[in-house]
Amino acid sequence: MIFILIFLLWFTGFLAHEIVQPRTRKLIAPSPLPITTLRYVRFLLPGAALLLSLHTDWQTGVMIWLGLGACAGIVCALSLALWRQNAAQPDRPAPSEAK
Amino acid sequence: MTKPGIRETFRLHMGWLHSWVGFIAGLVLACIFLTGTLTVFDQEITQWMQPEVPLSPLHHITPEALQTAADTVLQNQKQGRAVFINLPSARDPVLRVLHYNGTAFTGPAYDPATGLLLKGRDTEGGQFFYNFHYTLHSGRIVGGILTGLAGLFLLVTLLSGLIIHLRSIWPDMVLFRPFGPRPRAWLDAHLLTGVLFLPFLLVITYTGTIIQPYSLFAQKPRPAAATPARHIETTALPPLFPLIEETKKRLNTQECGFILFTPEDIRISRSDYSSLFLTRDQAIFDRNDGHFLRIITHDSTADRPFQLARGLHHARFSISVLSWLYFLSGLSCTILIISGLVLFLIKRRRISGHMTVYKLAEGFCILTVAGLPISALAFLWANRLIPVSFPGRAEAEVSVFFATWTLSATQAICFSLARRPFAAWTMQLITLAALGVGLPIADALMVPHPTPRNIALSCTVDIWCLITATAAAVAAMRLIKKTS
Repeated sequence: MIFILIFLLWFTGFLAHEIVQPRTRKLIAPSPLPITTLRYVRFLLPGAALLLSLHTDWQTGVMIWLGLGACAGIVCALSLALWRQNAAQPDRPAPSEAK
Repeated sequence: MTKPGIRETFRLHMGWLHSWVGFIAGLVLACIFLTGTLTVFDQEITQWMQPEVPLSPLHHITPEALQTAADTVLQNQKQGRAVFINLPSARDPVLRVLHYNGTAFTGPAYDPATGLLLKGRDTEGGQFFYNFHYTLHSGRIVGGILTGLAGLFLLVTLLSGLIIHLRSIWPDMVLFRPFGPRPRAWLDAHLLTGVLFLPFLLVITYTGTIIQPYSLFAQKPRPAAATPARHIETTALPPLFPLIEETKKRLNTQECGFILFTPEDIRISRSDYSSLFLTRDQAIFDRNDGHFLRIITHDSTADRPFQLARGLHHARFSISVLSWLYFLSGLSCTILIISGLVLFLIKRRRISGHMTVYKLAEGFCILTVAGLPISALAFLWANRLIPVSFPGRAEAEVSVFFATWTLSATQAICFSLARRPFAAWTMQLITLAALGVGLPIADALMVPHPTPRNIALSCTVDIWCLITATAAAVAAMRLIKKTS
C-alpha cells in the first residue's frame, strides 16, 4: 500500500511539473490550482514520498523512492502522450476534408 | 557569418563524443544491460528452466538433508571435482550442490527438509545470463576487460550526454511524443529514460566499472569458481548442521549463504541477502573434527565502500519490490541505449546511408537490438524442446543461443549490405514476436508445474514473453506501414 502511495505522490508531482510548462498550460483548460501552487506541489509531493520511503529502512527506502519515482515519471509521460494525442485528434481534418 | 561561441563549440564536441563513443560502446552495452536485467532474476530463471524441481515454501534445513548434500560433496571430491553447497533461501528454497562447469555453476538440488534428490533437467539457467553479463562469454580476462572498458565508455557517454542536453533536462523531464516525427519520438524516448533513470544508471555503471578491475586484478577465492579439478583428501565430513548454527552466532546473522570445502577446512559464509553490504564474511572450521578455527570478516573502513558497491550492483539484499524496480530500471536503461543506437542511424541515413560502413553499422544494430532478444528466447525454447535425458543438454542450450544469434547476425548483415535493412528489421521483429507468443503455449503444453509457486513463476515468465512479443509486433507493423 505504501508503495502505491509513494508512486502516486511522484506521479502527481510529475503531473504538476508538466502542467507548469507553457507548452502544456496552453493545451489544458484553466487548472483548478494556481500555477504558483503547482510550482510548490511538484517539489512537496516527491518530498512527502521520500519521508514515507525512509520511515522503515532508509537504505532500501532511498532506492525504492528513486525507483518508484522513475517508474511514475514514465507512466506520467505515457499518460500525457496519450492525452495529448486524444486532445489533438478532434482538430485534425478528416482525410476526405483534407483533399 | 558569426563563429559559434566557446560554449556552443564545446557542446558540439560533446555531441560528437556522445554519438560516436555511445554508438560503438552502445552495441556492447545493450548486450550487457539486457543480460544484466535478466540477471536480476537469475535464480528465478533457473527455477523456470528446471520445472521438475518443486518450489515449496521455505522449510528449515535439517541435519539429514545436509548429510545427503555432504555425501554428494564427498562423491564429487573423489572424482576430483570441486563443489560447494548452496544453502536454501527465500528466493531459492532448495539445497544445491554446485560445481563450476567452465561457464556456470550447475548441480543437483535437494529438498532442504528431507534431503530427497529433486531431479531437475541439466541447465545453466539464469547463470548463463549472469556470466554473459560480465564476461560476454569470452572468458573472465578478455570479457572482463571488454565489459570494464564498456563501462568506462558509458560514463564518458553519460557525462557528454548530460552536457549536450543540460538545457532541456528540467523542462522536458516527462515529455514524450511517440506520435510525432520518427527522430523526435526516438529522441524523446532516449531523453525520458536517460533523465528519469539517471540515478540508477550512474550507480549501476559506476559500481559495475569499479567491480570489474577488482575482480580481474585482485582475485579472491570464489566458491570453487576457477578451482581446477584436483585431488582433495576425501575424509568423511563432520556434521554440518551444528557448524551452520555456530556460524550464525559468530557472524551475528540469521542466514548463511554457502559452504566451501578446502582440503584443510570448511568455510561457511554469511548470506548475501542479509545486508546491503556484500561482505562474504566467513566462519572457518576444521575439516576433520569440525572445531571452530577463526572467522574472516572484512569490516575495515577501506573495505566498506567496495562492499557497498558490490551490494548495490548485485542487489541480492533486496526485497521483491526493489528487485522488480532494479529489473524495470535495467529494462529502461536498455531502451535508453537502444534508442540511442537507432537515433544514431536515423540521423545519418540520408547522408551516409549508401556507405558500406553505415550498412555494417545498421547490421550490427539489428543483430544487437533484435538478435539478442531472439537468441535469449531461443535459449528458453531450447530448454523446453531438448529432451531431459539428452547428454550435455546444458551445453546444447547454450549452443542454440549462439547458433540463433549467428543466424540473426548473418541475416542482418547480408540484408543491410543488400540495402534492405527494413526487411531485416521486420523479419527479425516478427521472429521475436512469434517466439514470444509461442513460448507460453509450449510451456503450458510441454511441462507440468508441481507447486503453486512454480505456476506463478511460469505465469510471470509468460507475461513477459507476451509483453516482448507485443512490443516486437507493434514495431514490426509500424515498419511495414512505413515501408509499404
